[in-house]
Order: sequence, then C-alpha cells, then structure tokens
Amino acid sequence: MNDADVTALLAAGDLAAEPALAPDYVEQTLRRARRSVRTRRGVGALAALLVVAVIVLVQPWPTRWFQSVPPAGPDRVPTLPEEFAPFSRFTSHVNDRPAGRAIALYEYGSSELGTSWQTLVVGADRDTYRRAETEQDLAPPVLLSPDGTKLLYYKPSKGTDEFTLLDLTTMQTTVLHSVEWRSHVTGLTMLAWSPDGRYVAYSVPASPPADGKAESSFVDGDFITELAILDVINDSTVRYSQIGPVRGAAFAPDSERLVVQLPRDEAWIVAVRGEKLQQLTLTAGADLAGNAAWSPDGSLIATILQPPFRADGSLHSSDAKIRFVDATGTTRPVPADLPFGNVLGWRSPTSVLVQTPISATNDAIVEVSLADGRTTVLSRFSDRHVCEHGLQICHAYRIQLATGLLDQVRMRPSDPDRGPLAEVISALPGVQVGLAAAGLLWFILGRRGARRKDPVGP
Amino acid sequence: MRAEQEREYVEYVRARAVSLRRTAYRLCGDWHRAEDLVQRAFVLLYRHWRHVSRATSIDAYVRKMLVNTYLDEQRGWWARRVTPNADPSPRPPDRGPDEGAEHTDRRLDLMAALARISAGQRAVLVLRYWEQLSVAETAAALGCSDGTVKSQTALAIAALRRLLPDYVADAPRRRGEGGTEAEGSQA
Repeated sequence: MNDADVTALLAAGDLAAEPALAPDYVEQTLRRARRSVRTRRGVGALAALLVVAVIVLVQPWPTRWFQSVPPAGPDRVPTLPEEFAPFSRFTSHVNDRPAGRAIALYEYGSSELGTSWQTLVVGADRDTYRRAETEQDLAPPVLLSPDGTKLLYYKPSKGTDEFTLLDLTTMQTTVLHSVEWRSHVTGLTMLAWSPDGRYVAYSVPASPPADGKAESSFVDGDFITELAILDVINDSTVRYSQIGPVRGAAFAPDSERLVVQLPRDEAWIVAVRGEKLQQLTLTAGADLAGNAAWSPDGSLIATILQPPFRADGSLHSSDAKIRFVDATGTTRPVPADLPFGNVLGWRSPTSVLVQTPISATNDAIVEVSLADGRTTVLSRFSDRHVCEHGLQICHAYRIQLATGLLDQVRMRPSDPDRGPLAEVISALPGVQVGLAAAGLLWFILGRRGARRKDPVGP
Repeated sequence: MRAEQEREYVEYVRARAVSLRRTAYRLCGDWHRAEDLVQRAFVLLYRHWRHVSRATSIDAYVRKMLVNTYLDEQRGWWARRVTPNADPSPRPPDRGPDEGAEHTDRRLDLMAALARISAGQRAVLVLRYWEQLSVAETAAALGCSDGTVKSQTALAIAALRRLLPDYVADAPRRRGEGGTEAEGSQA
C-alpha cells in the first residue's frame, strides 16, 4: 500500500451522508465561547479569592503587618516576656520594622562550633524581637536608654568617633560626637546612661605619656582612661582628665551625679560637671555592679564581690556576691550580701533584678529581695537546642534592661513577633496550602466543564 | 473581546465550519462528535482570537486546535471506556443498488479499520492524505518532529494493510479501471 493507495482509501470514505449544520450553529458556538471565557475568568477570580482566604485563615501573622508601633507613654504598662523567644535566624532587623519601646537588649546565641549570634532588642509594649546588630559587628558596643526608646551605638571610624542615636519608635537616627582620643591599644568604652536620658558616661584613653614609654600608659595593670560625659540632647561632650583610670560608672537617680570606680578599690561620687563630691571605699576585690548599680532611692550602690579561687584552684562565677555600699555618706547598715554575680536593675529600692541560672542549661531574670534574699523568677531564657542547627543551647549575654521602666513592669505571656521576614517565612505553608487548594479547584471545575461538553457523556 | 474582533471571528467560523467538520469527521468517524470537536476548537479559538487573528495562517492554528482537542478527548479515560463506535451512515441515495452496496461495505470496512488504529496514527493519516499536508505541516499540527510523522505514517499504513488485506488486492484493479470513486467522492 503506497501513498496513492492510502489517499484513495481515505477518499473512499465519502461524505455523502454529511448532515447539514444546525441553522444556529454559529450563534450557538459564539454563546458557548462567551460562556467559556466568563467561566474561566470566574474560576480564576474564585481561585485567587480562595488563595487569599486560606492565607488569611491559616496564617495569623499578616495581621501584625497592619499594626503600628504602639506609642510609649505613661498610660502603657511595660512588660517583660515570661519566656524570651528561642533563637531564630528569621528574626528581622530593627531597621525592617520598628520594635517600639524596648524593655531589654541582649546578645543571644552560641559560638561553640560555628557562629549563631544576635544582638536582640525586646519590645516593652508588645512581644517584639528585632535584631540590632550593625553591618560591621554582630555584638556592637550599644547602650539601651533607661526609658527603652533609644539605642546608642558607638561607631569608631577613621578621623572621627561617632555615636549613633537610634530612636526605636520612629527609627530616626542622630549622629553624636565623642571627644577626640588616640590610642592603638584600647578604645572608647560606653559606661552608663543617666535615668533622665540626657547624659551618657564613657571613658576614652588618656593622651599618650610624655616619655613615650608603654608602661607609663598603665596604672596597676589598668590602661589609663579618662571619664567623659556626652550630653545627648545638645551633642556636646566633655572630658574630665582628673577622673581616671575609669573601671566602671553608674548614675544616681537624680541624673546629676554618678559613681565612678577607680583602681585600688577607690570610687568617687562625681557631679556630671566633673567635680569630685564624695569618696567611697569599696571592699577589696569588688567592682561596681554595672550601669544599674545605684538604687532608685539613692541610698545604696551595688558592687560585685568577685569570686575567690576555691581550694582546688578553680574559679566559679556562682561564688560571686552582691555587696551593697551606703551611698549617703552615713554609717547606717546596708543589706546583707546576696549570692549573685550581677545586677540588671532595680524593681524597687528593696529588690534587685539579676541574671542567674535556674537549671544546668537555663538562665532566668530573677527578682531578689534585699530584706530576706527571697527570689522570684520573672523571665526565663529558652533552653532548647536551637543554636547552630540544633546542636547547641543558646545563651544570653550582656543583658541590659530599660531600668527606668522596671518599677512598673509586669509579666506577659510569650507570643513572639519577629518581624516581616519571619512572617513571610511562616506564611509560606499557608501560601502553599492556598495554591494547592486553588489548583484543586481549578482541576475539579475543569473536569466538570469537560464532562459537560462531552457529547457522549451521561 | 471587542465587537469588531468578534465580528471577524463569527465570519471566520461561518466560513470554515463545514470544512473543519469534515476533517473532524475523518478523525473521529462520527458526525455528531465531529460537530462537537469543531465547536470546542472554535471555543478555544475565541479565547485566543486576538492573538491568532494576527497570524499568517489562521487555518493552521485552528487545525492544530482541532487535532489537539481530538487527541485530548481520545486520551481521556471516559472516551477510552465508553465512546461507542460510529454509527453506520445511511446508504447514499444517488448510487445504483450494486454499486452502492459495494461502496457502503468498503466504507464500513475503512471506518472499522480506522477505528482500530491509534488516535495519533489516524490523525497522521487524515492530515497527510486527506488534508494533503506535507510532513512538516503535519508535524507542526501535531506538535511533533518530522521523523515522528514519518514513522507514525509508516506504522499506520502497515496497520491498514493488515486490517484491510482485500483492499490491497483490489486496489490496482480499481485504479486500472480508470476514474476512481475516491476522486468522485472528494469532488
């Protein structure tokens, strides 16, 4: 059988019995075509609506996208989370969406095997978590203001030294300037922020010694540094060369004075204008308990008695103690030592907040009564293995609390809002479900349409 | 679709419906199914008219739509299970009794044979030997390569030869008698 045979064969199946087309065939076809287009548009719109509905129903996060940052004011009660959120790589940066007024700033993560490290700011009015690192540093030098509304970064750069003041509620930044200093050995250290938010105490290296000898730059092993005060409002700063080497500082509740620790267990209460007002003698081996050392009633200054070596030569931070010093210059008795190694703030003149382990792997922020040493756990840090791909427990370091908010702080249940990046990531399952539902709908309607058009169908 | 475009579409449908239905009939062997296949192809054409109407050959597009519609239908589980064989068409009224009987028998044999080869091979035969398309045009209509068209054509002819052994024997004699019925029926 060749091509001609096949042509003849097909031609043999003649068309003599061909029925005439229906008179309204063209009109009927046109109606069907129009209906087909309408149906396809309807199904498309329905599928799109279904996707949106499923995403909205399955995924609760996007509702936060429409929430504005709550205003910080006296009518809002600041809160601490009952449990700080576990580590997440999808936590957004504070620049992506404001965190609002903050209650805490801390470094969190692990660097045992790799590096999982974040500097996190935690909201005071909502359970917001935002990363607060700089482009250059995962753990930048940064202070949290006592009212929780600002971060002050120190940004060393060539030629000038700049502070960057970041408003957490408006995300506006302001550049402030430090005194000039020069050293190849040490640098600027931010020490404390005054309760009224106006002053920041910091230290800078002293001018190089006249004899040019390296040993002349040290006193009792401390590099010679000098106190400086930054006026945040006016962007003015003053160096006090007569006050140093500075080992630590904390402001008084009136914001006009600060206590500065010097070498040889010596401390001075000085005015923000630089006058030495009163000398304090610290216990040998004690250090000022950070920038929150001064009690809110002005009567006590907390120091940390560093742990001594045990008989076996080991050193344990749990052996450290909080020792109180009378700040009024009188001889009235002070509370007994407390078995903790740090002070994060004061909830009242008779209770301090400390960070302490509550299990082998779990730290917490604990309120300690000065009267009887009774402890109350306020906030726990997650002890889940979530750092370094689940291989390590994350630890919290360098915790700073908004000390001006602690007297009225309440606890809140944990409901982390990590920002838009986490919301997008967590919305993906909802989007997938929505797309699958839309695809299924499309398939079902398409099949039904095809059957309806099938002339041999039922 | 704009009114002017729709008018052009209607004109095209009106002009080509009959001839496309014949092609569809060759594909499926049933006038009612052929009518529906063509209508479904026209519905597809309506959706894409704005794009297709700018093409140099609208017929090529529509032919491709028609063949795809036919092949899609044949691939469906419903068609595989319950599509009935084509009903025999009534005897042509304008032929003599003997000639008509022989003609009807041969046509029924042909339709039965075509119904037994695969849909793709049948489409190849219809496009190549009924529509008189070249190998390349057939390949474009089916969305396959020239080689596939050639191989499928060979397989289809082999299947027909196997299914219609008598016709192979009769064919030279019929053509030798001069003036084939095929020419008459195509005219």
